[in-house]
Amino acid sequence: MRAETAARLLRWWTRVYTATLPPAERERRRAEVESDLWESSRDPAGSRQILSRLLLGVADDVGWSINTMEPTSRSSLSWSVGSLLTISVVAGFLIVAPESAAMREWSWAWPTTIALHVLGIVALIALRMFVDLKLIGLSWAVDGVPMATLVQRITPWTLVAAVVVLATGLALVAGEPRLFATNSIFQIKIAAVVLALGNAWYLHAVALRGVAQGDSRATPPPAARLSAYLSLLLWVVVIGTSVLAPYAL
Amino acid sequence: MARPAGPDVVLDGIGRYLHINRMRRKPGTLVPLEQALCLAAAALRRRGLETFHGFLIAKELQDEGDTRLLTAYGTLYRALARLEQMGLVTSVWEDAQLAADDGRPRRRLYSITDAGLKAATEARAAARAKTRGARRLAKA
Repeated sequence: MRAETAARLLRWWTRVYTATLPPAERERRRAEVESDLWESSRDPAGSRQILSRLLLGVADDVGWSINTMEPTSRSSLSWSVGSLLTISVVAGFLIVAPESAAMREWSWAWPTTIALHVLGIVALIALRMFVDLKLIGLSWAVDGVPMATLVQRITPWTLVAAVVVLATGLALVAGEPRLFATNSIFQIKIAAVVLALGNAWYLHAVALRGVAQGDSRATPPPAARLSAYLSLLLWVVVIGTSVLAPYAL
Repeated sequence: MARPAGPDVVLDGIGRYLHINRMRRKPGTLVPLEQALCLAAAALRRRGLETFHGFLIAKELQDEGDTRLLTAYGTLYRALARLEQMGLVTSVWEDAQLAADDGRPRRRLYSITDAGLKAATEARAAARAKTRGARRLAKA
């Protein structure tokens, strides 16, 4: 690979892994890499090694980026990785799922699983609502708590709730996978969940970046407020379709 | 609550789930790359270079270690950031006008501190002791 192409790749990668960092850290790393590239271009060995230096440092770039990013961005990364894994697992499961005899034959399996699934959804949505309601100004329950602290505290519990919802949801689908796969209301529910997760990622990684650490009473940016309204709407759709989906089986 | 600085930092958030940056080490100890960076910075200072930039220290590491490859960008700048956090190096941006006059991007100029020089001396002594031990073992 030519040195110019490797340099372009390095610049692109640096923009990617510094995108969610605080502005000072982002500009510093980009400027340091740019300076290093300039020095490399004056050194025959240096210009030949741009690609290898880039590839061998990727793990450190990612690790450093995660450690340096703001708590809300780290939380959004958790959401992104979690969402991607969830979607992959669900998609893989729906493609290869055998019908679960246990879910259909054991009389206690279905009601127990659906009870846990509903509890998980309630917990997941309630935790999300702490953030969403605070953003739209209805924050009496968490008044005075900075957004970064709130996000940091609720993220582990949100992930626990998400795991419960995923596990029980898969078990429910396992009872009748083909019925669920052709159920249009269930498809709307999955689409709403995917959009809600994407919206949560946007909220934390983009809309809230840089303001999350500030004063707990500061007005959030319009994009964050809009994202919070959308989040509330999408979770209402998830609840509604969860209730209606079994009737459309 | 203020986050403690230095190598014993334990991060929250995703680091807790991915076990990133949970590496524990004895306070005051350096990983081999950090030792090598201190040694290289000390060597540059002995040659009269009070400050160095990333690419220069990467070249120095390559020469001192007699290796074919330069240290990767991510590894190098992450290690330099750790050394700065530990107070073993300090850094400043060079004067923008100076860089503009030379027609190049501004350099981040690092300089080794007294604590860094002490760490380099200790690393050199440890390396010598290791070499002596290996020689004794070979003779025995």
